[in-house]
Amino acid sequence: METMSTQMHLNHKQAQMNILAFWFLIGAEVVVFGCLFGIYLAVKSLTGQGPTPNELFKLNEIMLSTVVLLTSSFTCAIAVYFLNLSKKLLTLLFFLITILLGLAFIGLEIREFTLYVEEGAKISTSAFLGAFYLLLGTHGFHVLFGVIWISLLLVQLWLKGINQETAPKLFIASLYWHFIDVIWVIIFTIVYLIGKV
Amino acid sequence: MKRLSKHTNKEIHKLFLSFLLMILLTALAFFLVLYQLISPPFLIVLITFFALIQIVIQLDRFMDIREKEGGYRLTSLIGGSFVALLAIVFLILL
Repeated sequence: METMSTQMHLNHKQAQMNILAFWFLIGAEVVVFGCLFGIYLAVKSLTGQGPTPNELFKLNEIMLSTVVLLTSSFTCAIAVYFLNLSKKLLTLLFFLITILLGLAFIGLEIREFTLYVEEGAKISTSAFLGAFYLLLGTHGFHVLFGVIWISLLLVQLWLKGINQETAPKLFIASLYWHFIDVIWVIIFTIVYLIGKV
Repeated sequence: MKRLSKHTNKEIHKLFLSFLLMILLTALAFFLVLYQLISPPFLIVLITFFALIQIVIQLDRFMDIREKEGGYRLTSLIGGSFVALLAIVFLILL
């Protein structure tokens, strides 16, 4: 058992089934986010007494959040690369950097929302803001969930090492993390960039 | 051992190039919007195209969507995207 490589752990039938099941979950998550994007696009011009997207968004700060999350996706890919090589400490290190960047992203998002609310742009101010906070909040919650999930898996990795149990779990968590990043690329483009055009 | 480290460098190099391309596309879209260098309809098409390239990089390079299983991963994603697209179209038409 100890001599099995990570690739063998990941190619194990049960692991392959788990990974496939997770892809089905990603398919369902695409529908959830699709609905939230649909709501946002349908009501984004209904700004009422509140600010318009163009008045509200500060692109420089959003660009920083984007770079932080893209970098975390890269460090997550590096972590999986070391997982495949069965290098426990390097896997741990790069997943740790990934969750720290995830926490930084959440911090930046909380700061952004606080600034907006101080400017009077609350969730109840207009339909646009309601849909905006719903979409961004759902994404932010996914990032937070990913941070907690990967943290718990890292404890398991530290205690048990890379084995049949931990390797597929870490690989699946990495898929989740990249998926969150894909959603952010769409949010950055549709909500922020097109909101500023 | 030498071969392994050469292979390691090559793989990390590939991942880094994908990451670099994503950062470049994001920065390019950001500056195009910041300085409004192109007329709006064309600008929207262009930055949407940049986002699509980034999504393909994530799915292909980081998420191994083409790996084994006879395309079930891609089918699951396309199925979800199709339902999502219908939801978006109907919500906008509502």
